[in-house]
Amino acid sequence: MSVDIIFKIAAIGILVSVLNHVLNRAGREEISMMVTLAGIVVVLLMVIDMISNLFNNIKSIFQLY
Amino acid sequence: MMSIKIICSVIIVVCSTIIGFRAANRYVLRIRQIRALQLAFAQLESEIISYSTFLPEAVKKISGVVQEDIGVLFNEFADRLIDKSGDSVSEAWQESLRVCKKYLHINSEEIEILTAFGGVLGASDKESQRSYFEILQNQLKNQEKQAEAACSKYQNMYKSLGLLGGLTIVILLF
Repeated sequence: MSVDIIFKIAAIGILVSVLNHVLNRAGREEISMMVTLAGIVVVLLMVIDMISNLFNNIKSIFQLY
Repeated sequence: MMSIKIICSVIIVVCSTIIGFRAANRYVLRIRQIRALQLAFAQLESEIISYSTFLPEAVKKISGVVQEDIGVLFNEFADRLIDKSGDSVSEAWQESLRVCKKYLHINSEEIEILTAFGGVLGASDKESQRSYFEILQNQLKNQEKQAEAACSKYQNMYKSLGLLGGLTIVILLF
């Protein structure tokens, strides 16, 4: 389990916020909305199997089979 | 392995930055070409109104003077007129606009204005020609203003978009 993914998500977050700012300043609100959504989806895809791992672990710890 | 990764990341960032700068540069080129068109039509007007030069000769003369890409357009137009291929002036003008479209960075609105002007070019007496030229210059001036507004709005956006897009791709792939 590496700590890399946290930095990766942080970097994506910073980039998306800067992109959002730039696009808003240029008056392209709808595209900035799309960029934000795309960022969320990408980060979710990155963490989704970790989340499922977490749920499996919880299930096995509390023996909820 | 790590060094290959870093080199490839740098290449991706540089390429996307270049793409962003090219996209931003389109707006600058559009303003430049509209200004060149204004100059070219002012010259054409003086050739026609003051010196009463034949249209093909006047167009040929102007094609050598103005900025390159606009010069290509006028050169094509002059060649079509001199060839006497059977086209009318407006047909020759439309055809040369169509052929030279890839050199021109102006948008469809300006193309429309130019096409409409081709329909009246050389088709009436001096006085009405002068008023047509005046109308064309006013329209081009309006387009120039619009192009300047768009340029100041989107130029910085495309530049930063290129760089940030490249960085995003690199982070996702890393």
